[in-house]
Order: sequence, then C-alpha cells, then structure tokens
Amino acid sequence: MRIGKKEDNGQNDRMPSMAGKEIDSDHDVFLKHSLSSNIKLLNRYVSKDADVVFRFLKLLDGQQNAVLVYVDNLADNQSIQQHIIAPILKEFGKAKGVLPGPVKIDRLKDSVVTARCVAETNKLNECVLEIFKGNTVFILDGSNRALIFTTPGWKTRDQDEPLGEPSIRGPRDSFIESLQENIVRVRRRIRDSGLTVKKYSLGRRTKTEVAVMYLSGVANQKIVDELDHRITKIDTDSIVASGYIEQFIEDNILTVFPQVQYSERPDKTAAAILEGRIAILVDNTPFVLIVPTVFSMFIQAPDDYYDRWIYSTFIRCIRYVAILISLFLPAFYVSLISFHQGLIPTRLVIFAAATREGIPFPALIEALIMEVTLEILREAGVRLPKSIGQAVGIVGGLVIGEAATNAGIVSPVMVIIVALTAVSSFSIPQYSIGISMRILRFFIIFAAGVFGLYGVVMAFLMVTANLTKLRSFGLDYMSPLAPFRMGDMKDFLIRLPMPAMKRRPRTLKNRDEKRQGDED
Amino acid sequence: MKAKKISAFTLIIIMFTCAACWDRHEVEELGLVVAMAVDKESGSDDKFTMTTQFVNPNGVREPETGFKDSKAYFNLSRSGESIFETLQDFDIVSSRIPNFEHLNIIVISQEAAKSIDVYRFVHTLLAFWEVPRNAYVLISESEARSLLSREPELEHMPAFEIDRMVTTETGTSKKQFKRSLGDLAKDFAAGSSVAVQKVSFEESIALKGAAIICGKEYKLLGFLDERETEGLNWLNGNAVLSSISIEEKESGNVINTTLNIKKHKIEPKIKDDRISFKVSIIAEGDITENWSETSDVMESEFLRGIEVQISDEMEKRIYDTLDALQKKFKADVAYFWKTVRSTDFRLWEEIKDDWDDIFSEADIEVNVDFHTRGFHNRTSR
Amino acid sequence: MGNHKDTVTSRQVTIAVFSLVIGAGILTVSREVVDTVQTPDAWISVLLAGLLTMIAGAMSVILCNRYPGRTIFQFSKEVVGPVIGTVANTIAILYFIFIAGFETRILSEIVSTYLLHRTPEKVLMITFIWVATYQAIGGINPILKAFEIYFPIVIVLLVGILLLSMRKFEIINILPFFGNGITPLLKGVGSSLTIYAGYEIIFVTTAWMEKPKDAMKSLFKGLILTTVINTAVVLITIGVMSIDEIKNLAWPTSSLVAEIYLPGGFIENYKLFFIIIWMISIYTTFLGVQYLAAVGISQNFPVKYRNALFAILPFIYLVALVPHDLGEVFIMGSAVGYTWLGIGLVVPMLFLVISLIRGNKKGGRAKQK
Repeated sequence: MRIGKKEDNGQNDRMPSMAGKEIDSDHDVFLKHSLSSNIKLLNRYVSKDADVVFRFLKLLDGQQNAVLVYVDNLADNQSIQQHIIAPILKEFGKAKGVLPGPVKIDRLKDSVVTARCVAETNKLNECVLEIFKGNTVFILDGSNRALIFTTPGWKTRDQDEPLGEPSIRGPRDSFIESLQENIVRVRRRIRDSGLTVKKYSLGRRTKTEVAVMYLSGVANQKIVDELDHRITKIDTDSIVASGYIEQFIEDNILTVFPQVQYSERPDKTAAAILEGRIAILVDNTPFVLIVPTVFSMFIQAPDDYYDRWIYSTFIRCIRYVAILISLFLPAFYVSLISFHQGLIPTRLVIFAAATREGIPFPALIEALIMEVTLEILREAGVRLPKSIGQAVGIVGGLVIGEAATNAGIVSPVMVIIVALTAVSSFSIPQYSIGISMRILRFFIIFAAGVFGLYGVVMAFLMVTANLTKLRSFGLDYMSPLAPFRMGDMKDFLIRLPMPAMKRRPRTLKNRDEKRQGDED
Repeated sequence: MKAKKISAFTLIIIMFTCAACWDRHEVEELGLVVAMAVDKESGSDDKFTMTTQFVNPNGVREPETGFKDSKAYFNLSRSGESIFETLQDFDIVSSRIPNFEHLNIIVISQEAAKSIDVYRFVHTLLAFWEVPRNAYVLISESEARSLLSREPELEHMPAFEIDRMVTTETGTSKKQFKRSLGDLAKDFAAGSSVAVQKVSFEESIALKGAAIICGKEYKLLGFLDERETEGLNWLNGNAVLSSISIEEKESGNVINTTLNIKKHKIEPKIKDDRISFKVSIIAEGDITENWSETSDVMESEFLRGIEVQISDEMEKRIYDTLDALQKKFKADVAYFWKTVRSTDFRLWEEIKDDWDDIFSEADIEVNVDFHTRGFHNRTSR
Repeated sequence: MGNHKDTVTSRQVTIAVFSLVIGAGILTVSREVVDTVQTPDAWISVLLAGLLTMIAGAMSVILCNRYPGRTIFQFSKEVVGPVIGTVANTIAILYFIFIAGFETRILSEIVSTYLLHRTPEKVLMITFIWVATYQAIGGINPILKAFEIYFPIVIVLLVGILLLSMRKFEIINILPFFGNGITPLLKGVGSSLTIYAGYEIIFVTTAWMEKPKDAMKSLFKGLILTTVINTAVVLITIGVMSIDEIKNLAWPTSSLVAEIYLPGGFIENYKLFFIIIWMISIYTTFLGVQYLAAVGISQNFPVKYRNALFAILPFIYLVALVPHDLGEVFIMGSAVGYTWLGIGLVVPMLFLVISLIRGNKKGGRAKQK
C-alpha cells in the first residue's frame, strides 16, 4: 500500500487529498448526517486531548447546529474567528432574511466562509488528521461531509543567519522550520516556471510533509524518478528531521562518505537546483537535502561563486591541501618517525629525537591519545551552551596540549601536528565530510602505526577503492576526477571565470546543458 | 556474499590486532651514526679500528624536561679484521643500535687507505648498511679518529663541521671536489682511479689537496699538493669562482683575478696505436687585486698582457698536475678514459685493462684561453 | 557484477595501459638491459622494444575491433574454435595469475628491503592482495576510475624525480651511440620487451568502450607515454650511474633516486616519493592482471566473477612464494617476460592472421552480464 502520495504542481500548492494510513483501523469510518453522531465518532480519537476545542455554532436562531473542531494554538484562533465564525454567523446566525430550509454546506463553503477551504471529506480519519495538522474541521448538522479549512497558526522562529555555514559575501537568510516558508525562500530565487514542487507525507505517526523541488526540463528525469521511488519506499514511524530521510535514501550505508548533501542556505540550494540537482525540504527541519551529490561538491562553498575566480581558485587549492593534511599528516609523522627515519633529513631526525626524549609512549599511541582527546574536546564544545562552548574548545586544546607537553606525556611536535590537522579539517565547507575525514584519519594513523609508510599507502589505496565504488543516484561519486571529464574540471580544483562556465556539469547528465549562450 | 564480507573483514581485523609492529623503532631509541673513521690498528697488520660518532640529540637541542646534556655527540671505537664484523660489534658497546642511514662523513686514514681495499669497503657499506649514497669520503693525513674528537667551534659536532666544510662551494680550487660514496662506487666499478678530498689537522681541520686511489687495487697511492689539486680541478672543470695569482712579468707585482672555467674539453686523438689528448679550457675572470703601481687596468694592452700571462700560468700548473698523474702515480683521475670510451667503444673495451700504462705514455696538449674584462667594479687602483 | 555497467572512456584505456605496463619492470630494467647489451646506448633497446610493442598492440586492436562488444575470452572461440579457444583462454588466465604472483613477490621484496625489514613477507603479501581484491570486487569501472586517480600522482612524481636526477647526469656516460654496432642492441630488445607486458588490458576494455573507434588512438597514447617513460628512466639511469655501476645495483632506479642531491634543499632523501610511486605502480599492475584473470575465468567457465576473484587468490599467493631468494625472483621476472613474448605478442598476431583468413566477422554486441 502506498504510504506517501504526491501531487504534481505548478504554481498552486494545494494540499493533497488524503490517502494517509489509517490511524488505527484498516477500514474507513464515514461520517453520519447527524451532528451528535459525528461528534461521538470524533470523540473516539480526540476526547483524550484537552487541547482540542469544540466550538459550537447555532445557526438560524438555533434551528441548525454546527461545530468547529481544532487544536488550540495549533490552529490560528484569530483566523478562525475572523474568517470562519464571523462570516457564518453574520450570514446565517439569524433566521430572518434567509431563504427557508436548512443551510446547505456547499453554500457555506463557496459563498460565506472567507477562509480557504482546502478539502471536503466524509471520512473520519481524514478529519482527525486535519485537526492535528492545525486545520479546522467544520461539521454541519444534516450533512455527512465535513469541510476542512486551512488555519495554521503555530509560531515559528524568526530566521537567523545560517549558523553552520557562514559565508563572507553571500546572503544571510537561512531556512527555518516551516516547510512553506522554506519553499518560498527557494521560489524567490528561481522564478522560472520549470521549478517543480512535489509533496509527500512521510512517517506513519509524524506524517511529516516533505517537498521535493527541481527544475523540470533541466534535471535528469531518471534521477527524479529514482528519488521518487526511494522516497515512496520509506516506511517508518517517524521522520523527525531531514537526517532521517538521508539515511533511507542514500546508496551505500556502509561507507564513511556521505552521499547526500545538506544545507541551511537557500542560496546554495537554489544554485544546486539550477545546476540540475534536486532539493528535498522537510517540515520542521531547517536543513535541506540535496541530491545527487558527488565528492567534489562537498568541497565547494557558495562563496566560491560570489568572489572572483582567482581568489576562489586559490582558496580551493588551499582547501584541497587542507584535506590532504587533515587526512595524512599525523599518519605520515607517525610512520616516518617510528619506522623510516632514514627517509627524513638528518637534522629533522635529531630534532625529533630530542623532542621525544623521555616521552613514555610510542609515537602511535601519542598520536591516538592526542586525537581522541581532541575529538572529545570538540564534542564537548558542541554540547555546551554557545558562550562557553567556544572557549572550552580553544582553551581546552591549548591548555591540555601545553600541560601535556610540560608533563612530558606528549611531545610538542605532536601537539602542533594534531592542532594543524584539526584546523585543516575545519576548513572543509560541509560538516558531514569533515566527520568522514576524522574517522578515516584514525584508520590511516593506525595503519601507519602498524605498517609504516606501507600502511599509509595501503590505507590510501583502500580509501580510493571505497570511493571509486561509490555511486550516488547512479552517478559516479568521484566525478569529475574519475571518470575524468575535462569539461567539469573547470569547477573542480580551480574555478574558471564565470563567462567560461557555459555548461552545467556533465556529470549530472542533465537535460539542458547550456547555462550561457543562446536561449532556446 | 555477506559471509564473505564478514570473513574478509574479520581476517583483516585479526591481522591488525595480531600484528606486532615488527619494524617499529622509535626515533629516540636510535643510535644515529653521523661519522665514521677508519684507522689502522697500531701494531697490527690486519686489524683496523673503526670509530663511529653517535649523535646525542639532547646535546643538540635541550628537551623540555629531563637532564641537560652538554655534549652533542660521543665516539666509540672497535677493532677487528672484518669491516662487517667490526661494525656489528658496535651493537655490544652502545645502548642503542647503530643506525647508519644518516651517515655523513667517512674518513679513512692514510695508513688504512694504503692497506685496505677501498672499493670493497665502499661496496660493503652500500650493500648492507643502508649508508646513503651521498656520504662523503675523505682521506686523512694523520689519524682519522682524532678528526672526530676535535671539539667543533661553530657546529654541534665534528661530523657536521666536516660536512659543512666538504659541501660548501668555496672560492678556492685548492680543495678537491667532493666525492660521495656513490661517486666512488661508480668510478671503482669501472676500474677508474679516483681523487678524493684530503683532510689534515694542523691548528684546525683543513681540506686541501687530494688523495689518489688507484683503480686497480683500490689502495691509496699518494697525495697531490695544493697546486696540483688546483690543476686537477681546472682540468675537470670543477673550479667555479676560484682565483689565481700571478707575478706580473714587467713589474713583478702580484695580480690576482677571479677564475671561472667556462668550457673545458678533453679530446682524444687516436692515431694508429698512439693515443694523445688535446685539452682546451676557456676561462674568465675579473681582476681583483692589482699591486702594480704603474699600469692601468683599463688599458686594453695591459689586459691582454695579463690574459696571456694567466693563460700560460694555468697551462703550466696543469702540466705539473698531469706530470704527477702520469709519471708519479700513473693514475687517470681526470676521466680521460671516459672520453676515449665515448669516442671509440670497441677500442676502449680492448685497452681498458692496460689503461694506466697507456695513459702515462699519452701525449697531452693543454690549451688555456683566459679572458678578462678588467676590474670588477672599480677602475684603476 | 564483474562486467561493466557504464562504458569505458578512451582516456581510461590510455591510463589503464600505462598503469598496467609501468610496474615492477621499471625498477630493474636498467640493469637487465645493460647486462645484455653492455654498451652505454642500451636505452635504445628499450625504445625499440616499445615500438615493437606498439606494433603488437595495434594488431591486437584490429583483432578486437573485428569482434565488437566481445572480449578476447569471448571471441577466441570464434577465431580458433571452441577447444583451442578454451585452451588459449586458460593459458592466458594462468599467465595473468603468474604475473600477479610475481608482482606480489616483487612488492614484498622491495617493501621488505627499504621499508619494513623485520615484518614477515607473508604479511606484506597478504595485505597487498587483500587491498587489491577489495578494489577488484567492484568490477572494471571502479578499477579504471582508481587508475585515473593514481595516474597524475605517479606521472608527476616520476617526471619530477627524473628531472631532479638530471643534475648528476653526465652526457659522457651515454656516449657513444652505436659504439658496438647494432647487434647487441637487438639482443637487448629481447630483455627489454619483458617490461612492456600489461597492455593486454585492451583485449578486454575495447569491448566496452564508448567509442571503439578510438581504441587505436588510446592504445598508442598509452604505449607512447610508457615507452617514453621507460626509455627516459633507462637513459637517465645510465647517464647518472654509468653502465659499470648499474650492473652492481639490485634496484637501479631506486639507487638513481638515492643519488639525487639538491644543494640547500632540505629534503635529503627523495626515496620517500619514489617508494610511494612505485608501490602504487605495482599495485595498479597487479590489480589489472588480477582482474583479467578473474574476468577470464568468469567468461570462460560458468563461474561468477566474484567467486573467480576469490578462487584465484591462493594461487597468486603460491606463485609469489615460489622463488627462494632474490636471484630466483629475477629469474622469475625473465620468465614472465618470455611468457609474455609468447602470449602477449605472438598469440594476438596469430589470432589476427587466422581471423583475417577466416573472413570478415562482424558480430553484434554480446549479452551483457
């Protein structure tokens, strides 16, 4: 049975008609014509909730009854007053001046109520669902159809600067927790009619709304279909945040490398969509997923495109060096110092020997101690409140490093190396890849500690083996490096000036490749 | 499929945990040997003494904690008949296993060089002890061991001091060009004779002159003095930025110029059974000192005169060197043989065993062309 | 799973040829060829051997293009009939296993000599084989992608080292040319040919190329690059070391690197870079032949690629253990070379001739596994 359902939309974001999984039973329960019976039916599900409000209305001087059901504060009280209750009562509160006969629900829906009516239903479970979504259910005595009005009224936070991805020259808006707000932020940047929004409802109990956005006519249809396939296959209780979805749709769960990118930045998301990729927005999460992703995209930052190409190229090169350092530096140090002293210059060997005199641990253990300590410090820094967290990170590192050196537990060279490594890993724009590097680094250090330089090389080969086998939604993870595509190299290590980037990345196999040049 | 993955994974884990890190030796456990001296054991014919200079890293750089050490090095000596065994013996006397991967300087004393087969020595070091190919070899006039004991003034240890002296490209050609272990190996493999730096110890360590090691028995033949070494350096084109002083003919005053060998060429001429060589050298220099009171260095006539005199003087010195090489030592250390081989390979293959004799009989004509532009950056006086 | 999902690009073929051929050979070729030729112009033999390989390679490409979409394991039966075809395939498979074992042994020898003296060789061999198998499980595309990643590293470091060695290069060491006539050079071609083994990868990749018409160009680009590198290595080694010393060196190229000296340069020992390059080169060669052997089995017998891959592991290991000492290792190397002369050179030519005799055979693309 299909769980989520989507609806293809152009400009109108209508709420899809429900086909959500049953709340508890397998068969539909239908509303009756009698109001009191309907209320009884509803109460089966909502009587336990103290915050569900039943607002009774008496129409036609008491001849006909109606009820509005909603959740306090989840639905917008004011909107309900102004746009539903007021018009109804104004029109039908008194019997005078009204045509004889009971009020017809269609009349209410189409001509009286000013709030937006998004659906009509005669199924009980849909009513309940809508109530918990923050909408208002209107039941009229004499009709077995309930009207559902959109009245979301919860408060969301004001947007902040994107905290995880600061940018020097880019816009400072970020996504927040409201799905529709997020969609809007993307729409403001892409005003093309090709921008497609598809909605899903995922999670049996959370019924989280998920929107998928891409440029039709540009994005590769096969990837779109594949993504659709994977999303609809998700069958779980809860989707609390976008990270949950990532773990369901990624290609390979056994690797350290992430295959899905995420971002808090609307500009980055919009740029990705324009490239031909697909964005997945999840309600209640400010982090938007972007697929498909290949390795090089984790190392690109939006700032690369806002600055001039010379600067961007330079910074990118530094970033690549930083990655190499963060992966290999401690391992090289351990392997050369402990195994192959013949390969380093004499002065360096003497220096290293002098600084390591009296240290009780072999270089490998020293390195592992320092690295683990650093990881713990880093994690601690994240958990603590912002004001203390930063200080702990810096001070902790310095103080512990200094104290450890003075106590003679680690050598000063090791402290410097570990610090340099840590700083290098901070320069990677995408945090998820940073974590991968940290994990890999341990593996490589260990390999170096057991087999020296041979271990480092073998570890490198293994990592490459893993990378080359990875695919993300059918694309090779290591593009554009392997298979080598000359055209895409314009945006890989270096970044050529804007006028030179005429085509979208060929890696993505988009439908429409031209970015610049003649319009078609 | 899954079972294979798991078993593969497990195997790797097992391997890593069982691994004993066989090759791990921490850097502070090393006994770094940076210099080696070979002497003949006094009183014995067969034995010789090897002295190794170990580095004490704490003396080079004081550690944060622990005791302060002043001496950056220490020497140990062992005697024996076999080089290999003697070197291995060092394991007994030192708390750290000697590590020769950073050996910089090898000094062989005169007596030792006269009796041991230097090629075999070089070969053993390269083959088994991981000695770097660019360790420098010197022959010392007196006892080699004392060279390693002399407290250096500027550097941390004698080995570094000697190393600095060997590798600096200096302005004098009185010091033979540095020869490394690798260079010796290459030349000995071809059976060529070799000229090696000579080191002597008077008030201070001096590197001047050259030692000739014959290419047949690989033993020391003798020394070239400073003048002869100069000639040899010019012959080989190794003299960069050296200088030459002459007595000016007319005034008898000393004139000194810098000397840069621009081109040097040795051409073999093979006619019938006789081999002769033509050496052409083009050199350049500026006048640095002119003690003459009468002549004006801007005068081109004067300059031309100087040029001729210097050319002649150089030729004379080179002839002296060749004399020593050909007559006294019968050793071709100037690679005349290479020029023969590069011209006529088949002939070389035939005569190479008799080369020393053929070389000593060969006619060598030397032609030096010296040019000068005058003073460096001042005019007369 | 061992076969292709995507197609093979022309660039990948070039790089694959280079990666497979440059392997253990480059380390010892200087000595072997100088031992045979005994003159300073021995590098010419290496050059000639490369040209000869190019001819053989060209013929192989022509042969493969007559059976588009099929690897040699698949179309050999069409050329010489099912019985001989299977026999030929099996011999090829054994040959690839043989090379794989040899490369493993060489790797463990060098790592043992230069890096890890006391670590048991068996451990080195096993780790090496496992890492390669891990990569090979993914099939041809990840392997080719891995080649593409390693290629720039190897080339840049290799060329860098060669350039740095030029400081000690003496022209007089490589003169005279043709000093002893051409005969010894021709003899030298025989010993140099062995290092060009490995181009056989095109027998398999041509079948899956995006543009099979480019196969010839790719092959030539790869082989020209290889020939240039090989010749340069031998030439520069002779120029720096001179022929007499080369004969004394077990690993001449490594000693060449040890001779590099830059005044004032703080890196004293360039062996570090060389060892890295060289480990990667041997790895790529091993990976290539391991894949060829496994693919051969899977296409010749009803065995799945993955199982074939694991099945040959013990055999590779056994082959690696065969030589008792370094001398025997070098003999094994020569044996590899001579086998290659038969399989890599003669057989493709034979096949081509037979195929031409049989008339034009244009088959369709074989079913993709």
